[in-house]
Amino acid sequence: MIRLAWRNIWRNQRRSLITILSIGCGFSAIMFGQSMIHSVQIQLVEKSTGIITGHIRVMNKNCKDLKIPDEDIENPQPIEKALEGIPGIQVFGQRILFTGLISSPITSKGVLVCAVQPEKESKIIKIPQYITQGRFFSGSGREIVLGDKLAEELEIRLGEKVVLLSQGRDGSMAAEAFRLSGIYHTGSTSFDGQIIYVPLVPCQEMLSMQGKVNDFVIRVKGLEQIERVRQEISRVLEPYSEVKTYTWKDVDRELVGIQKFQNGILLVVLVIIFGIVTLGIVNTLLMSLFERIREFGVLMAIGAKPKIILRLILLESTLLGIMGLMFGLSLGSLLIAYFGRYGLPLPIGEALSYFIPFDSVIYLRFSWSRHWVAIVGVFLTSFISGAIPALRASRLIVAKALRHV
Amino acid sequence: MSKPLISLENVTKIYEGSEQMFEYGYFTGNVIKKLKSFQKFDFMNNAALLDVIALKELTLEFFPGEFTAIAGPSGSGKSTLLNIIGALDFPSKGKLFFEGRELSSLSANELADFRLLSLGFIFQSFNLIPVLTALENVEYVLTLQGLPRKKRREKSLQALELVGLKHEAHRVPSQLSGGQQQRVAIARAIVHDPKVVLADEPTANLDSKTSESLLNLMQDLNKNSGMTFIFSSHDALILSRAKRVIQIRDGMLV
Repeated sequence: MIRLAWRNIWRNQRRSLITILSIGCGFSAIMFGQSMIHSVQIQLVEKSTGIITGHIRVMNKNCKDLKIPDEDIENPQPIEKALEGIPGIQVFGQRILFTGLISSPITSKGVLVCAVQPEKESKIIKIPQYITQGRFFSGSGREIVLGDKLAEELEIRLGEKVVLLSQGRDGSMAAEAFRLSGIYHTGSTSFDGQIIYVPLVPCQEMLSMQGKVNDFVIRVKGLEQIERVRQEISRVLEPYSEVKTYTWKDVDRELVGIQKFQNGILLVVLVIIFGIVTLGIVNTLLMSLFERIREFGVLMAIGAKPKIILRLILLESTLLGIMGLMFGLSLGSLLIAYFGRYGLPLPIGEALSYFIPFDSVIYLRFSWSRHWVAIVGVFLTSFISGAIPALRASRLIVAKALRHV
Repeated sequence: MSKPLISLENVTKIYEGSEQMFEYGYFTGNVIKKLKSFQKFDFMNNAALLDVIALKELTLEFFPGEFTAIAGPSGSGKSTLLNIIGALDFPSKGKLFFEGRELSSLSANELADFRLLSLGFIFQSFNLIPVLTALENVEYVLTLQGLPRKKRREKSLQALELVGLKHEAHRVPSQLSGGQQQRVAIARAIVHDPKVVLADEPTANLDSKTSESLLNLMQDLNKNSGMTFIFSSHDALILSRAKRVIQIRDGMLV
């Protein structure tokens, strides 16, 4: 029967090739779309978590605002100890995140201050890679690193001093002078104009928070390990009831929203492509069915049971589906491999960079968990598309089918 | 006298609600029924569904080893009769027996099995599967019967040899002449040793010389193996060779 189905497929070569091409192109389009969304999401997450959010955060459980923690961790030492040695953690550091006013001789601007342990933070976030002038802290005390947009607004250059103003935990006005040691450029207007990095210790003094922090930021070895490591950290930190563990998804709700939006769009696109693929297969099979009604009549006359006709047509549609998938898989893999290596320039980067940092060149990568869904989906689609004409053919009245011209 | 192989009792075949040409255009029976069911199209009120009576209370018997022709003009019902005998169509009324077993109560699968084991068909337009070679066309029936590959091959080649086409076994139908194609069709019809071979105007598309040689072949098969042949035809050659001729007109025996 496979031989008969195979030859039937190649009986009308042009039509079968068009069907295989349409299934293949449809599938590779799905695969490409999936890969693009996957790569965009990974790049978004990597960049966003790499600038400030980090993968996992440990904060006071009473914090109302996870972006700028409003409650402190009074005794960070035992937590620091507990975090050491948890498998999966690549590096972690203590932080104080607070808002303040930065003033240069020219002007002042409200900023989000990220007080960090410079050595550790340089391994957690990617800011050192974005430094365009100077260094990400040289280790000489009261230094500050800020974005090029802010530096431009404040009209300051490397080595010049700025004053940071904020409110201490005791309610007093806190002010401290810092020397500009590095200027970074992420491409994101909001990041480059609003976030500054200073060393932790001088800030603790400035804010009357000696020995205290309000945030632990943790980097894990791979994005896929985040949830597992978070659970492990939560388990280890159970005795410390004042803190709670969060992932970047809890902190950066906007990014999660963008991901959901992208997934929604992808779903709509997939449904449309699936529809086109289905129409292509149904069309080909119906055409070949009407052309061969008399032949099915002959097969049934010589003793083929209706289920044999059903199987024959289903086999044809399945073979078409498999060939289409193989073609689509090769084409899709080639495209992804090519753009994975050389990058795919998109205008989306500039559009997004106003509110989140994003690269305008996407390096595609495979998303096999999604691709498998598409493979099964396209395969089932071709199978089900064959079922309609197959059922019709198997229910033909033999004498009527034989009269068909 | 031996028991009848096939018997028809008061078989009537009516094609209900045939298609008609109206001043509004052409409608098939189903469309007319549908439009009438809406009761909104006044012009359909006068549309009568013409029932065509193809066979009218036919009672007939066929015995083993017959070489019989059903003759009659076009539209007389001879093809319908052959279709009913071959369980390709169902009588509207009456009963059909094969070796004493009534066929109307059988399911589609049981009827397929019956055709597979007991009948062989030869069609006017050969009706070979175009993508299969002559050998594969003949072999297909045995494949459906579930015979092992070696046995299938052997029997199919024997059948092709019998019709004088063993040397063309690996050609596809489009590479064969009309006469050769009909020989392959005969080989396909006899390869599984059926009890009856039904041939619907087998010589209609062939020249007289080819027709004669094919008829000789079928006559030999009838004589040597006792296989029953029932033809529907108005070809004088077939009628002259048939041992029995059943004349039919307007669905009735003449």
